[in-house]
Amino acid sequence: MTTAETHALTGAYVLDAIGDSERAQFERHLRDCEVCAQEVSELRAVAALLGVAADTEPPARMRAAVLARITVTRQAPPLVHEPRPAAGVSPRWRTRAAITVAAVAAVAAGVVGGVTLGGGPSGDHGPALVTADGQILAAPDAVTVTARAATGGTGRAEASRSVAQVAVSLDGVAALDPAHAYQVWLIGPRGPLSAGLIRPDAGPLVSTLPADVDHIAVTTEPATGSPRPTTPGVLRFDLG
Amino acid sequence: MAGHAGTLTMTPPPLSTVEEPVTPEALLARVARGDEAAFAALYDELAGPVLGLVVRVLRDRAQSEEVAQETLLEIWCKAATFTPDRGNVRSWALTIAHRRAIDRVRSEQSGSDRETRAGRLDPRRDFDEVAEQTMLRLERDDVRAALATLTDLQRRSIELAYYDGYTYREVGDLLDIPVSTVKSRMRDGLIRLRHALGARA
Repeated sequence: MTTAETHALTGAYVLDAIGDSERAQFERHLRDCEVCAQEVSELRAVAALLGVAADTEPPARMRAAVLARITVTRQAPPLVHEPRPAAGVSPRWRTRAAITVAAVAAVAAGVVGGVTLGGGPSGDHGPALVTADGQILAAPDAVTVTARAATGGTGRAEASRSVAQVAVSLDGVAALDPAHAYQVWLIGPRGPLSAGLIRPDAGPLVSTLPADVDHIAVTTEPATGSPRPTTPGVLRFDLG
Repeated sequence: MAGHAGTLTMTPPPLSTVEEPVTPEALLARVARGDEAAFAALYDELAGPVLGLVVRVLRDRAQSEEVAQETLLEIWCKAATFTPDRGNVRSWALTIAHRRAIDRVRSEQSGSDRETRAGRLDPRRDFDEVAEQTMLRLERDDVRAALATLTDLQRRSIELAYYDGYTYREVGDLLDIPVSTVKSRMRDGLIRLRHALGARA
């Protein structure tokens, strides 16, 4: 299939009018093609409106059945970025983590990187921001905020308000045992929003950045992630 | 370590102090935290459109209720994975519902249930005929008006795919036009619908 023919599949794709293998193929294409991904997102909203028109009154038994089933149905954790099995991690890590978290707590404000978003040309632009799908964001307001973790490594947040995205990466931060994971939180007046789990030394975790988020925290959580932070955290970035 | 929460300045304010508007998006955020009451409220927002769409595609009421239940359970399960780039919550729910309904149609088809399939071939069936359910009248009228702005080929391609579950190749066969044309009509038809529906889409 030529590239032009692939691009033309956006309509058929959002209508669920392609076969399974072609669907999988097109979804791989979507990961690399920003133009198609954007078009799919727009056309999907149109397709959903075709469905809205068919609203109907569901029977009470269906409500009772669904509400009963959720009480025994486990929820999926937030999307995990580049999941890989942990290897060679010392079981003593948790103890060490507890100590280092306490250490971080003691110096919380001190470890925060000092760059303010929107600070103009004086900001540290760092390397180009690369998102998970390979797109390079050359946003003029992209800035890099770094913070030192007491666990011996550093964290880095590359963010742009204009494209509303942030990429968080951990460099040299201790790996966790398989039962635990680092979770990234976007924090603003609405409370913490999970941006997902992140592994040290894996690629950056890329998330949308809501306008009201003013800082980002990284905490240790159970490996499946938590609905809200349960530990004080190992890193914090102030976005100003 | 949970006992340490709240000891640091970075700890966010308790969620209970944050007044959130009760939009499906706000409800979903609470559902992602395992809030069953929020899910019940979200169910009330979504169950009608979800079931309506599935009935529209599958016709069979009992099967449709099953598929609608699976869709709503999937929303419960995947609440934490929702991101705004997937559109609003209702559109996300309907996307899941449609995919599940279409999968059911296709597996039914491979199960050689040709008779049911043939019933869907009735060329006289159009948007009005299946609009017998209780509906969100305004939105229905808007969508119908928008569909009326399409060329015949655009409208039939989209309806055969979305409401009847045909692949674009099958639509090409049915309408006796090249598959590349079908793909294009689906795409440019949706783009035209998007303009016609304006801010709604």
